[in-house]
Amino acid sequence: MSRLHRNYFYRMYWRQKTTWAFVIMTLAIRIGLVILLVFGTQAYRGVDFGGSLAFSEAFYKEFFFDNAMAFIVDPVYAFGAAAMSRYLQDVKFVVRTGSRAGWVRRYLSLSCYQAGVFLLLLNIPACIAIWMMGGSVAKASAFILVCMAGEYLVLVTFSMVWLLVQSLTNSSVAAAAAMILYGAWDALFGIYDYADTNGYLITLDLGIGWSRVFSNIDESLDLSKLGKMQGITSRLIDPFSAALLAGLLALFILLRLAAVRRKDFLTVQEEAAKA
Amino acid sequence: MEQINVVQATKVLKRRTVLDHVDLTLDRGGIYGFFGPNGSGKTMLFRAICGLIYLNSGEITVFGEKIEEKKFPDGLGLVIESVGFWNEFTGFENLKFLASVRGKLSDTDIRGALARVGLDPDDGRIYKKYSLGMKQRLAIAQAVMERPELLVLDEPTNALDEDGAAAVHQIVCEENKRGCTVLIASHNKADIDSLCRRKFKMNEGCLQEVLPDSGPA
Repeated sequence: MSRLHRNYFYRMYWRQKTTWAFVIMTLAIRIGLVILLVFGTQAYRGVDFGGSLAFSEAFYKEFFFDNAMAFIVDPVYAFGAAAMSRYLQDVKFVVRTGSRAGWVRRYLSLSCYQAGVFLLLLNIPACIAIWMMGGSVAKASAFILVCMAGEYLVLVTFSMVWLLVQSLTNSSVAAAAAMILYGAWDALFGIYDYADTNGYLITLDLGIGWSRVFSNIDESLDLSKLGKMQGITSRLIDPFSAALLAGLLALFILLRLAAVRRKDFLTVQEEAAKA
Repeated sequence: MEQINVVQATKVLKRRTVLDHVDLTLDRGGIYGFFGPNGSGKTMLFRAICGLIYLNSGEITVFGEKIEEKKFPDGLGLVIESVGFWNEFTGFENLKFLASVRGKLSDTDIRGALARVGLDPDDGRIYKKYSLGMKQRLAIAQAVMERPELLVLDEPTNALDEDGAAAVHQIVCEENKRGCTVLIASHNKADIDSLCRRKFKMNEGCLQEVLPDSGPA
């Protein structure tokens, strides 16, 4: 892709009103969380957390878990994906890419760009909130960077889920629903404990992505339990789950390539007639 | 090799056969007209030739290149039904964005393409503010701006006044003179009669050539 094309590609993205609606919606949610988590917590009531590493990490984590990520953030991202995909599906653009694989590559390129933008919108308010609460962003930077890498994989996977379902069904509504379902599975812990017939407790962890990659975070805020930063970071990451997350992304990209080979590029009217 | 070959092309959408074992051979460099009632399959045939739909059965070759599920023809210019551009961009910016995908045109070329269809390259209005006729002219400009080998025009004179239609006729003739193969689908009999060397009638997904001595199209 030429530099000229890249520039126009992204410039086009920012010229859409829907892109700005997407940005405003995302910021509104994040700023809402800042207000909720900063001014509605103990810090507001005068509790001093002392800027500890444990507090900074736990507070950062608050922004992504336990806040209905799948039901708040995913719909906004779905809206952004819809905005992004709108102009890329025009046949005048499609045929100029030379091949269906070429078209997917450009789609993926903008998805990666969009995921990066979204990630910044998610993280900057989170970091400001840590600072406002008296935490240290610098101390927690290793944890934040690891989380950001995980988030990035998850967001690009969301885009691929969107594109896959959109290609198979030609329906933005179905694509958004699939993304939210996938996000719900990803964001909710999905851990079930039950006893078998012999009375043994079995733990079934259906969680993927985030919830497994960072499943061991210590939320006790008890400094005595924590080692040095390097130790904490490595303890938080489950390599198998991280590989699974990356594998899922690769799988969705491959599925996407397969699905698009059979995609019919039809107008909305033709789609309606087909149904 | 220098032909467009459609062999037994069949496409079914939701149990409705929109292309029914279509056979077609077109030589390079001609102007070919397709007509028929709404929903007869003209646009689907064009989409199939452009690689935009996959066929349930059959095969299409464009100038020696097989159009598979994964490939679009090289050197293709098209106007297919919906005249969709991007509302937030001016005409020039829209064309520049599309041209940037292939990276073959300069700003001067794009301005020339706009002027050729009677649009002002310096018009600062965004696409959303264009009239229907201006939108159609912009669609023609994007189709011809990269000097395509194959020009596929679906209802190219829709929404155009007499001058606009005449301009399209002139552009089609100029492109054809340059060596471009042109496929036109139109409800406008004048488009087909005045421009096309061979004419085809489509009805319920079936294609039939209208021979010169078989009466008026």
